[in-house]
Amino acid sequence: MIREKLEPIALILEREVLAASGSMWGWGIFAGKLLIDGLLFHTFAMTDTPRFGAEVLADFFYILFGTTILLGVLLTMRLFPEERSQKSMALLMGAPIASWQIILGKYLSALTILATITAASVYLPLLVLLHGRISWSQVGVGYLGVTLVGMATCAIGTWMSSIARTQLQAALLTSGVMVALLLGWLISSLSAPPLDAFFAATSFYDAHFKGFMYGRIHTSAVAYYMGLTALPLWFASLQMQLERRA
Amino acid sequence: MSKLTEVRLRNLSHHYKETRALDAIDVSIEGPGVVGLVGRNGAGKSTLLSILAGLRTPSAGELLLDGHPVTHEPQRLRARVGLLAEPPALHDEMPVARFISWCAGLRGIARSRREAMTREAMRRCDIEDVAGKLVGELSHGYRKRVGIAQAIVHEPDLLLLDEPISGLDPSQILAMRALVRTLGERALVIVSSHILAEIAQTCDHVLMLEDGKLVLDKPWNTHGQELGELEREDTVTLEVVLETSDSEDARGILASLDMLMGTEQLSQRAGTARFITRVSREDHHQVARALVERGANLLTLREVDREAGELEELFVRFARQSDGPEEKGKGEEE
Repeated sequence: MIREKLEPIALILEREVLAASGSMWGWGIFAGKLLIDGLLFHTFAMTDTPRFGAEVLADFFYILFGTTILLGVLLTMRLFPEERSQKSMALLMGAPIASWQIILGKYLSALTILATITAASVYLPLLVLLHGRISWSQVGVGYLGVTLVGMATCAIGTWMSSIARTQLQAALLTSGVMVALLLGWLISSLSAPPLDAFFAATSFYDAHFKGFMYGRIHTSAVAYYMGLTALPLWFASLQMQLERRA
Repeated sequence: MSKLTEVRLRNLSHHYKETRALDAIDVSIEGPGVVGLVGRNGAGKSTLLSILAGLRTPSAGELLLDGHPVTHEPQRLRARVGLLAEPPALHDEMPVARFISWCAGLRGIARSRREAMTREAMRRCDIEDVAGKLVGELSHGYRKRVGIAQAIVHEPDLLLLDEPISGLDPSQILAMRALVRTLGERALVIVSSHILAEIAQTCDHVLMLEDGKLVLDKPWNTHGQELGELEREDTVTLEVVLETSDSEDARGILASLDMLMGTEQLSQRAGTARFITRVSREDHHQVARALVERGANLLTLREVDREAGELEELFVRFARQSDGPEEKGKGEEE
């Protein structure tokens, strides 16, 4: 029974990953992300000034945080608008599978590609070993944080992609939501109590990611990112359901 | 699951905001066989196909498969339907065999049966020679065939083909026609096309939509058989339009003419009754006078070239009726 439910998700995931890995676009994104990570790491993290390994790693994860959000936007913007423009959406919409299975298959494909590309950046913190020491737990926790950020970004992107008619529209919508979440601290500083506390608590970076950069896991931060993953996916499923019943 | 023998649309309507796409369609379609769905752009064909494919839920009315309502059970409907969309829904980056197998998996075919069913679908559509090629590298004709193969791979009871021959060359059309007829032996195939001659040649039954309404529901072969017993070379087909508010009267007048054979009424609307009939070539010049002598108010009498496409005539006729400014807004009795 569970296998039957998972099979279509796996099929959608498999096709998306194969399509990306067989395209110039997929490899371009892969190379571009690694290049940007490398350049930023060497420019901002690996400075000539002597620093602790933990500080270098924190800077590295700060860079990775930004590029992961960007990657999530780029990977999810194609999910549905591309199918719509190629008129292949009927294959999914007309299949005897639930809307949540379509959404989950698409989402997991974006997340798989994002995780693979992110994992390929692991050589960068290892470079720190050439000059000093690093804490492996900080590396692990940092990557956990980046993964959670990637999960939430991909979920928001999947939702926006399910709404958007074009890839540009999807990218703009996802970017808009991400910017709003990132600016939580700014809105918080401009708001009066009790709203300031609320906006501070919703901040995507300040309130929740900083701990991961320094190797600290806060349950609230994990719950925050998990919530930001589940909720958009649920909305996307509802959106898909509405579209199939229009 | 038993084979599908009847698709019933019960007062099916669909609206897009203010626009009425389908208006109380009430029809029963029996399978297996090939049913033609014709109508102008915007007549409601695509909406009807998408409802039959489980891609939309009608605003009102019911869709029943063998008497079981499936309107609100789209998964049950989707499992029994195969759809060739126009343009065909394909994934260009996948090899043909893999793509068809992928579609089989999506429709719940177990992994163990997938390969055999994929092979069978490719064999029926005659695309085994391109099994390893990427879908994106195929010609238009092959893409159509791959589109059909993905639609039949799970052996659906109801197969929906949207414009299956558009863009095909003559030899591909012949092959596609044969394929559609073969598919119609096992399943109920609904072919939507604007190429009316194709519908007339391939289908056992014709449904015509105009402005979201069903204006023609006709067993096509039966119609042909009724008139087909005549020596066609010696007869002509006539369209007769009489001005009357009582179609019984008009039918009576036509029935009283012994020279007419196989008269059928096509419509009764806005004070006119339209008929199609056949008469020997020898007598066909007498028809007008005979009708007038019997008190008929004859509006139109013209020869229809049946061989060249009776369906086109019907289509144009219904389209004209729909366009005629004097008929807009008036009640319809069909």
